[in-house]
Amino acid sequence: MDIIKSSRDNLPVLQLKGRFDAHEVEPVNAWLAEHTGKGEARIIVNLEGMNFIDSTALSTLVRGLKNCRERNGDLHICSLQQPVRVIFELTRLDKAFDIFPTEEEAAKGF
Amino acid sequence: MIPEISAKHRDAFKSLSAGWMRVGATCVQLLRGDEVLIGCPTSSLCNEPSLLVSSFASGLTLQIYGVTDPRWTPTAESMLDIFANLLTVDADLDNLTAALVETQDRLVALYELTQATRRTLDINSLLDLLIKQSQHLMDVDGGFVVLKEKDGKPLVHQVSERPIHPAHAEAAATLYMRDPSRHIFKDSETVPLELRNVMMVTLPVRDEISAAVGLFNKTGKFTTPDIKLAKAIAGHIGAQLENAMLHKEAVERARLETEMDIARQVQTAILPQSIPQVKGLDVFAESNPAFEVGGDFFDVSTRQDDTLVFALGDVTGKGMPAALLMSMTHTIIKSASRNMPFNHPHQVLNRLNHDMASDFSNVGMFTTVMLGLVDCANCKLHYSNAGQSPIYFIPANGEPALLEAQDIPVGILDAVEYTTQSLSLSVGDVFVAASDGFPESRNPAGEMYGYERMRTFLSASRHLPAREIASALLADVNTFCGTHPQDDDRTIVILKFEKQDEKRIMFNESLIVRATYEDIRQPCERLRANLDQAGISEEVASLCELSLQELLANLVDHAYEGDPNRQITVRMAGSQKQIFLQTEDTGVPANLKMDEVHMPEPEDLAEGGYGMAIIRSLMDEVRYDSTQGKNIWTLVKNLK
Repeated sequence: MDIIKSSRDNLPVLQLKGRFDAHEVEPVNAWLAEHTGKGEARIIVNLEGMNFIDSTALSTLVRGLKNCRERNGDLHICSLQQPVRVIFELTRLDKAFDIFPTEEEAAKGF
Repeated sequence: MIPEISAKHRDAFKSLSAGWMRVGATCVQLLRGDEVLIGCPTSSLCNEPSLLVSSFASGLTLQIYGVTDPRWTPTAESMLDIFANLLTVDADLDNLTAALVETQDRLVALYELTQATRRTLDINSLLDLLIKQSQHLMDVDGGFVVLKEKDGKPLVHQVSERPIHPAHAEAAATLYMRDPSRHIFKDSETVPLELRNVMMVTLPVRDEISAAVGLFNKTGKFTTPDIKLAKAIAGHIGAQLENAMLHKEAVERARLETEMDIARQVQTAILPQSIPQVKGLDVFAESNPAFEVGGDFFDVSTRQDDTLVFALGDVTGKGMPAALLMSMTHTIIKSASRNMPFNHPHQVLNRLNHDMASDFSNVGMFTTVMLGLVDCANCKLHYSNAGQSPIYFIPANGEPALLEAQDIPVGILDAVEYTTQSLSLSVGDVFVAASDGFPESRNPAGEMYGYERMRTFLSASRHLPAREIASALLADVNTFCGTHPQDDDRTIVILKFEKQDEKRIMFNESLIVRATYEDIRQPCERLRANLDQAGISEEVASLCELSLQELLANLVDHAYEGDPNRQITVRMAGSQKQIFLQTEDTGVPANLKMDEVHMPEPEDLAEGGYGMAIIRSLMDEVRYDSTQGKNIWTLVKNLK
């Protein structure tokens, strides 16, 4: 999996590409901890290039989401691809996250 | 010819002579040339001067001795005239009597001829009889018959006793046929040197045969009654000859019909009585023989390796020879197909050609044949085509193609290397091998149904099952032909590639991996590759991969509790019907009831518990067994 760290409108953006599974959660966990541990946490996770996600990876994102919301912030997800959207729907986590079609909309959604 | 003077005339001569005696004659004589026909007195020395009158017309002379007075000359001339007339009448009477006797003879002979010919239906015997009877009745040296069919070579029939050169007989017939009103030939220009005279009459047989009888070397000369008699004989024999020819044709036709029956029986016997069915393939084959059996044959059989072999061919020619060669060809194809090395139909044709080339060329025949092998497991059709046409390939989604024959027919050349072509098959593809009896069917206007029309029709019918494609095509051809009869056999083999065998295993493998998040990726990736290759949809493949990933990650976390030195065995198999996944570990037995597993509520924002819930919602069957230290998870996904 490729991890690309960037920002949009001063919001931290994490872009994940490829296969996001249990083996890949550590660096994502670290990044989320870094950006949700202080102040008002508003972050964007861009899944445009992701084609597979497992439940461990999903749990990581859920932990990040909880941390953000505990600090009056949020974790916005954008650019879901169909195979991954199916998994979000299967776990009903599409109802837990705010999911946006594009990174720009995700930024404006805060 | 003037006959001898009859006794009646002698008396008349005596009384007339007596009158002359009274006027002083000593002797009266009637002569023809120097010969004394009659004299009175019958013998006497006649040296006195005499009165002499002659008639040039009859060649008679009357000499009266002892009378010289020229006044008696008219009387003598009258007497000579009387005798000349008497003798002519006598001669005519004799001729008439002879002719009457002869006519009677001839009537008897004709009657005998009729009786004799009634008993024979052999053409040569009848011609012999014709010549011999004519010879006998007309007093000729011999005879001949010349028969000539339209555009055919003349045939000369003679009897062995008195043959002439056949070329002379032909020449005489040609001369006669140029002008059939002239029957008698006797001048040296028209009659061959070896003959004195020839008489020709027509032998009336049937319109398509010109025939003439020639009779030659008549003692004396040919007369008009001879022509009439010869015509009568020829007329009679001609009618009988026609009967004989009809009889011969009937016998020949009966023989041919018997032969056709046998040929038909052979053909019917070698054609398969039922078409074997192969999973994944819709096969139909049939042959509709024409009234006069052609040489079409076909065969469809399965082999032990589950491949299907089919053949379709057409032996040239008809009747017994074609039927025999067809049955030999069929036998060789059948036995060679069974031992055919995988994927190589051309080797069967090489063998067939090698075995049969001399048999075919001995009778001037050959056979076209297409031999195909369908390998459903690998979705391939391999075929070798020795001159068979038409062959069509109609892909489920694509332009239908007429596949030209790559190789020459079997039985033409001894040393031929045949070749194999291959097609990849997809679901819905249709392959049609047919005999030329389909495209070359004609309508009453003489137009052919045609290869293009057949291609278009097959293209439009490709969605139908194989049997219905065949019957629809046959119906279309019959509609096209209308009242025109079927000229040739119509034989067809149709294969339609269907959905795969549901029970057939598409993949089946097992691997052993270390229990780490990184290593469990390997079986997941293998599963995904197998599913993609089997043509499983991306979504189903993705969800199966997710299920395996969840199960393996669960074992890493809970069975082995993160110990990277433990191992998991993974088995995966797939058919068109289901996907089967199994893991085996020796870690801590699971303490889990699957029917109590539920997906966490989204508002709870649970940080775990999704994995087994994903498996439960995606898989149709989840089983867990733990015995003798082995924990076995079995997941089954049914496919639609």
